[in-house]
Amino acid sequence: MTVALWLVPVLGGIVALLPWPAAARRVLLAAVAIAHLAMVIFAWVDRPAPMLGGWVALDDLGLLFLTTTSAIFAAAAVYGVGYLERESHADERPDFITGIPFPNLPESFFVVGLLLFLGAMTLVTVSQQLGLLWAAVEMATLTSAPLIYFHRHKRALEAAWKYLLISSVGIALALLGTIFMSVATSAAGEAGGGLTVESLTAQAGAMDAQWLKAAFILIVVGYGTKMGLAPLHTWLPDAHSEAPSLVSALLSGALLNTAFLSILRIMQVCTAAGLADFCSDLLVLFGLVSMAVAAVFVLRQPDFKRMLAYSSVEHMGILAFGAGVGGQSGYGVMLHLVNHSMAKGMLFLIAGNILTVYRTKAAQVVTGLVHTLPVSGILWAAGFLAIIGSPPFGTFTSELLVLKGGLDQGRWALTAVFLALLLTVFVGMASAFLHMVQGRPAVTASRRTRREPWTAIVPPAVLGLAVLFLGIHVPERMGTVIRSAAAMIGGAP
Amino acid sequence: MAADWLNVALAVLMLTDLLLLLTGKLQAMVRLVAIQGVMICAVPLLTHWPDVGWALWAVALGNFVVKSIGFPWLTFWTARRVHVRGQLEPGANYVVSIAAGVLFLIASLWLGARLEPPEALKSSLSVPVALLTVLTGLFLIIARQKALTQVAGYLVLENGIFTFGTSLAWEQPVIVEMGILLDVFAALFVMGITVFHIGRTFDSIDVAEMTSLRDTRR
Repeated sequence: MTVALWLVPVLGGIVALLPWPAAARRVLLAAVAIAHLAMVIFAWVDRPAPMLGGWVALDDLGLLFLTTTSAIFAAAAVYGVGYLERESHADERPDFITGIPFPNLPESFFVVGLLLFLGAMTLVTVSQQLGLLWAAVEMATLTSAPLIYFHRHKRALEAAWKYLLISSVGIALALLGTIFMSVATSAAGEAGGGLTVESLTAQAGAMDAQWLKAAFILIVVGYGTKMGLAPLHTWLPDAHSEAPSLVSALLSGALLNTAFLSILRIMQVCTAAGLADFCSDLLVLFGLVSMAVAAVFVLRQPDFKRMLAYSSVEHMGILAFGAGVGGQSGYGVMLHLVNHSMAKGMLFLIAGNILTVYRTKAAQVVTGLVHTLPVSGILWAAGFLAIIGSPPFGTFTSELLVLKGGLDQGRWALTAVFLALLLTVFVGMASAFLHMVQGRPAVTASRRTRREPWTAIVPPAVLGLAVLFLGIHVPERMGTVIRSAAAMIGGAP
Repeated sequence: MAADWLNVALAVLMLTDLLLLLTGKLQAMVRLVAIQGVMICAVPLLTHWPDVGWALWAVALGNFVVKSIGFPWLTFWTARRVHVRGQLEPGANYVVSIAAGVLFLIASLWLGARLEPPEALKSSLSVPVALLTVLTGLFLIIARQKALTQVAGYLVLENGIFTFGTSLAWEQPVIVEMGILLDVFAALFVMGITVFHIGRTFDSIDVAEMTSLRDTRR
């Protein structure tokens, strides 16, 4: 059953390669996505057993990440059905910025890429063996690169190339880190137990500390590149702004999280080896640097998709900071990754709607959203409140918990910096977002624009409602899993 | 006996690294990567000689195919379809490259002496040469201007990591090693297609042309 979780999307991807009529393939995409979500929800009720000799197992930490990934993918897939249908009306369309007509990636490859991407991300969440984890992250990178290059113009190609190259270098360094980890275990006596998290934590006390530290640094730098931690984040704004909006939603809402999970797995081992302080300092440093970089580039950012991308960098920084601080922040981090993914997913999908009607990514130009696209406009405003951490949204609770954890651990100065950076980003984003919603519409509001297709507004609305719901009440079952996941990374609730 | 041959292979690998830093011609670079591919095939075999299982043979030969055959073929295929000038015009000039080469050599020898692996290695050159290869790969990616050179840099980086892995007797099940090799192959494939698109879209594979996405106003 655990294997079925990632096998179903992969098989779906292979099946999608066959020459279906386009409409049937889109339905296949949505069907596989919803089936995957159903399987994941079922896993909450009846947890599947470990398979492949313990290499593949769904623990509480993995379950949380998997649920988030699956939910975002389902929303993106339903959105994608409408999106692909709209994109298929013309073979070429003129570029917004240069006016040169460009084609798209053949729809079949796009759908195949999406499904294989889901399979790869699922594999990351269930991998307990570090080599398998690495292979899955690499697979996720390779399957997402063509998705970024969906619109075949220069800027998308540039974004895809940067993404591919920087991610590949990062992952290569993570591989080196994994090798160092293996060397560290050979000091413990028996080389092997096969680098599973379980066997590593068991021998953690006897591992060579020097090699383990080097391994951790390389792995944080390596997987941190994929997570979007500054200063390794340079691929992020370009990829998010040039990719189709649903791909951006997937990158921010799912891919960055899986990279974070990879780092957390290593942190489990290092904490068991007694290197908790070392790991903590490194993660806190990366976290605050990411938030600072995000704050700088969010201020006066002209492109609203890039602004969302930098917001993702900021939130990844929050996650790293919280994971580093530990204690109650651990619970906040687990809650935050769920809330952030859904809020960011919603925002990117709405950004796609805005782009379709306004045909520009300049935040200054877009005005009067609430008149031209009423539902999207309201969701955009709600999304803004969600992403900056305003009550009653779930992000308020999670950020507050991270803050409180920092104070409880006695890290006053660092927490003060954390708070200051949060406020800076709030200021930076507020003026842009609110300016976009109000004012005289830059594009004529007509019945055609006001009647938005349901595939374009229902998925983001559902995501937004989920974040709202989590802000008011975290279900019992979910709370238990979050607490257990936080305990696994050294955060006592 | 095998240890002597291992030292020879590692020394050749070190030489290819230094030459890669200095070369200005695409042809030469492709040949150097191909030679590295042969060395990468030899190093694991010589390190574990004479108990070399079929798994190790498979991995070694796989590496040879990808780097010594796959990459030159890719370059040839791209060069035929896209206007690729033979001269690489390294982004960092020759003085910087030579300085970097010397610096990397010193750094890798120093680091190699400091990092003591738990088990005795067959050759004392293993760790320094692996480090040098990793640094060379990173340098090629950062400091060179042509997309193909960046792909070459990625392969060199992988070579360095692979040398590390096999030298430190990283005993992974076959399936993981094959998985890693497959991933490198797939990465090469995807990169190759992307470079082809770059050549066609930009009419050159000069990455200096790809600067339209930026945050700072010029």
